[in-house]
Amino acid sequence: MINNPLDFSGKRVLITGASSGIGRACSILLSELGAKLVLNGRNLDSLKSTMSLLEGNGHVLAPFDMADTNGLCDWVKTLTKEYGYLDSFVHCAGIQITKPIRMFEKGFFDDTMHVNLASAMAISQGFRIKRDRSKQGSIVFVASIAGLIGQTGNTVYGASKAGLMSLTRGLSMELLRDNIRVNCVAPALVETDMAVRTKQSMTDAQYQHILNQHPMGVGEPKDVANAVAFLLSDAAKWINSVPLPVEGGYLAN
Amino acid sequence: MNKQEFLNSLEEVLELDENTLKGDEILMKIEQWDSLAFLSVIAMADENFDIVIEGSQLEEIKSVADLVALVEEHLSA
Repeated sequence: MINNPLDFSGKRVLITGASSGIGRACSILLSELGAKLVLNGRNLDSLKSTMSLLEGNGHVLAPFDMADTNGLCDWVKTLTKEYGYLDSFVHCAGIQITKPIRMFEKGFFDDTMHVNLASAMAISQGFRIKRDRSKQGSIVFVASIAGLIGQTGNTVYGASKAGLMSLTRGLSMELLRDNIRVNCVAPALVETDMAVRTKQSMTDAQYQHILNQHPMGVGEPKDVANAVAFLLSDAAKWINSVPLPVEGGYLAN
Repeated sequence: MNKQEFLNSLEEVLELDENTLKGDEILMKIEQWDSLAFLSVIAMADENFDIVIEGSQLEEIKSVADLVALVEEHLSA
């Protein structure tokens, strides 16, 4: 049989934010590539919908709120006790609220930072402790080009995603001794529920301006899932600490 | 939140002095009304009233009274 470095057979992957959008697309693709999945999200019904779209069997649902930062490490330990060691972890969970600086307040900042950023650190903490170190592990965070560029009214979200990129660099070095690679993807606008909410939060002219900045149009969730699967797989076994833009030429524009 | 409190929130968003809005102002004539004020009002409605004001809907809104009408059913007496 031809060696396929994108084969995930026998690998167990935790995916946060699996109930919709990019997380759902990652779940579908990784199941098609043979992975056994632990699907996380807040909404059980939506997670079940994702589950119904998966290939193969042995997948499990694991709802948990990413805002519960202090509970996340123990939650991951419980998962490994119940379902066995995890080989990889994809962090898609995230929230985005458009708020100019005049609307800034601590609660909004804390929510965004906890769900988007602190959760990544806390889950990595649990993931590192409970695993088979003889096998290379891999982590992929879903960041955003908002962490690389400036967007009016999207500063805190951008800061959380830039934080994820920084976390990628720091953890990729700190987890070398644990045989874990850490990379991230930075998508531009992708057709998801989050994009619909973004559209609703601005005028048609403002949204059209955003569309005009995408030379190849907006992305599909699967475009991001392909990049995530590559970075997560053995095909990328010598790729570490990379923030991979997945943006249809947005940054070249 | 009652109507006066809503107007006060609007004043904060528009960075106006307290109790300067009467409710009949034309938004375009308020110096501070700009695209960021737009985004802020949308965020405020979502946060305080759980109302999603769609961008296209907001383009139809011309006055402070139009904004009040939009959230009216959620305001207390």
